[in-house]
Amino acid sequence: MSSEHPSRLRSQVAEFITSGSLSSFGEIALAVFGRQYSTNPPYQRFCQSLGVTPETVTCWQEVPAVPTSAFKIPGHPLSKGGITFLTSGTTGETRGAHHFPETDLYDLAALSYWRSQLPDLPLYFLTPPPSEAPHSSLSHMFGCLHHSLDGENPQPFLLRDSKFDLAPLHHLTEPIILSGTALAFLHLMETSQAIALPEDSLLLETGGYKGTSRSLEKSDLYQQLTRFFKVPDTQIHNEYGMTELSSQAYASGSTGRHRFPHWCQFQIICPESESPLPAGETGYLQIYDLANLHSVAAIRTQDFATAHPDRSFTLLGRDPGALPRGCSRSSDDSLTLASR
Amino acid sequence: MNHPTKELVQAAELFTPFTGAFDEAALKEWLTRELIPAPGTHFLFPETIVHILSGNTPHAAWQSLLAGLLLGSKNRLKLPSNSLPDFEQDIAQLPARLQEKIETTRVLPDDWIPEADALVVYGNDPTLAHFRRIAPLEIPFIAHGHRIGVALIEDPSEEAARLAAKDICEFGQNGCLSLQTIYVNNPQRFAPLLAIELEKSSSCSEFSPSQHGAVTNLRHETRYLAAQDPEKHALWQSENSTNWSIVYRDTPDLDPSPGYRTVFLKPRSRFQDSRHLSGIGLHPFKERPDLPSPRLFPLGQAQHPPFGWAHDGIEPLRSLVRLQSAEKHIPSIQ
Repeated sequence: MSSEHPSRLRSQVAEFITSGSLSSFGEIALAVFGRQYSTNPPYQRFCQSLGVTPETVTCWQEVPAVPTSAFKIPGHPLSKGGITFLTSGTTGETRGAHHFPETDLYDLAALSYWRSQLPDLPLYFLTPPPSEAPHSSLSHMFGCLHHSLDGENPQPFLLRDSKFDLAPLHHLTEPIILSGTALAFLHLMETSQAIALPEDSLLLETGGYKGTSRSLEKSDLYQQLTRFFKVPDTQIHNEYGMTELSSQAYASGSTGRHRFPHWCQFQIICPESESPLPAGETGYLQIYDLANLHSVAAIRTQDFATAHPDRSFTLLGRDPGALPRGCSRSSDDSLTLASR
Repeated sequence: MNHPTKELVQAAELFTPFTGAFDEAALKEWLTRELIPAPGTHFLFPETIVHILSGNTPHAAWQSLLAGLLLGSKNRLKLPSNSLPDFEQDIAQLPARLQEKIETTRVLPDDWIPEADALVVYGNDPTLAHFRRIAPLEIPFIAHGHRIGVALIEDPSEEAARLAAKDICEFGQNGCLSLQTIYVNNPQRFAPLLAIELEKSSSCSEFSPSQHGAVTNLRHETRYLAAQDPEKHALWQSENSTNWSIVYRDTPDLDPSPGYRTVFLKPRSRFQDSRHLSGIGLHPFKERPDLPSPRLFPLGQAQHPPFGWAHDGIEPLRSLVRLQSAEKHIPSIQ
């Protein structure tokens, strides 16, 4: 597997994203592991220290997962390339860096799953455009969605120079999808008059409040959003993603469960034994994202979740014992999303 | 001032586990040590002291209360919302004359801070900043922030390991006096000795998932770092449990431990004094005036400071009183 030609494997993963099925995930995951093991020295050293090699791994669940903090080590980057997305952080705090030689797979993953989950509607974003936040994976994703799905909209980014420009929302006649971080939505609701969006519009919020002075239960946030935008709870979606990943999970409604696409699997890991837990038990979310071909597919997060037998999961949120992180965090002070 | 020393001695059993043993002579010696006014001056004692208490261990609460009662002040204690569950019950066992001087709450009433004559706050940086902002400017404001205990060990012996394990394990490594980082000559040799002692001293604890996770996340990260640079990173840990962990990091930073008997080892040459140190355990102990830490102690005594000690280098009684100078009329010089 490790001798797999890079472009051939890349094509295989792209094809799997576009038209694959869950049944062949394991086979491709092992090929991706073999490739990453042989070409990624920091990851190889980690696997070897655990006594794991492509020869010893029999299924994707055995692929070693790196901690998200591994993306913070400058001397041992997990990938190299021209585009770098940075995790959020405050001055003096080390930020994680996810490098991409190219973002074709990232973009394909974002587009494919968005198309499968959300209707084709005009898009508006409560983030700065990628040109203002070149290291934000969220701004990049939104830029990709705009470019591919709604390129004719001249002003989809409603946050520029740290200020909201909500004029495009005031004269809408057709439904839209309005996306942004939870903190951006909160700022907007605190500083603006209510905006009734056209019927059948959707909201998509992402990110948490960790590391900020804010804290709001998801149900409370959704109630406020419902009142402010006149959008029902079921039409509000959450996107779960992180700089260290290339794929996202979505949930709808304040009590909805999250689902990853078929090229992204997960396990729930026991916080005490570090072993996988069965459905129904709570632990850390460990994700295997094949679109992370250029870095490491297997990532151990510090987010608590409970798995369900149908491959969905209930996200319980960031471990309160973990260090602060989160999409929304960097926008709390300046409303500028410098990074995801 | 009428200091209630007799009543405090009657209640010594309640205080002693957290303040150290005392009798009436010890209380009087403490008063004398801190509160002898210079000629022509006398002390203005605070009528009401507000104590904002943190929840990691009961020590700070009892020590702060003892100082306030000894001064004869009324003590208003804001207890943490979800810890120190037995505190009110224990207070109810104090002699009536002391109980009259105590009010407790879990939710801070609006009038407590404006009415305070002195404010003592234990907590993290945002908590301290909040109360510093709202405290009346003219009253004493005593802040005790997050601190880390460290040790400097010259001789990495079995005895040093035994004493270090005692300082790590007492009170669940939850206090600001708990040992979190050890600077030692030859850490790689010391780690196995410390591992043996931690194994003896540790018992299984009922941890929450987050508490277990704090330990296993650090272990996971350390395994990754050790794979990259085994000269600078290594891990020793309890088998099949999160009972104890030893993390070797040859880096200059002072790393915060997640607690739960998790200690960082660093080469002794990496030691640099920090304002965040609660104290430095020395082995072997010798006076080190070159170390500006407010507390130096023999290894093994981290959790047992002397009675009436100056927490963070701040005298508990003296810091709460103000001095009044009674100035005689001085004829003007022609």
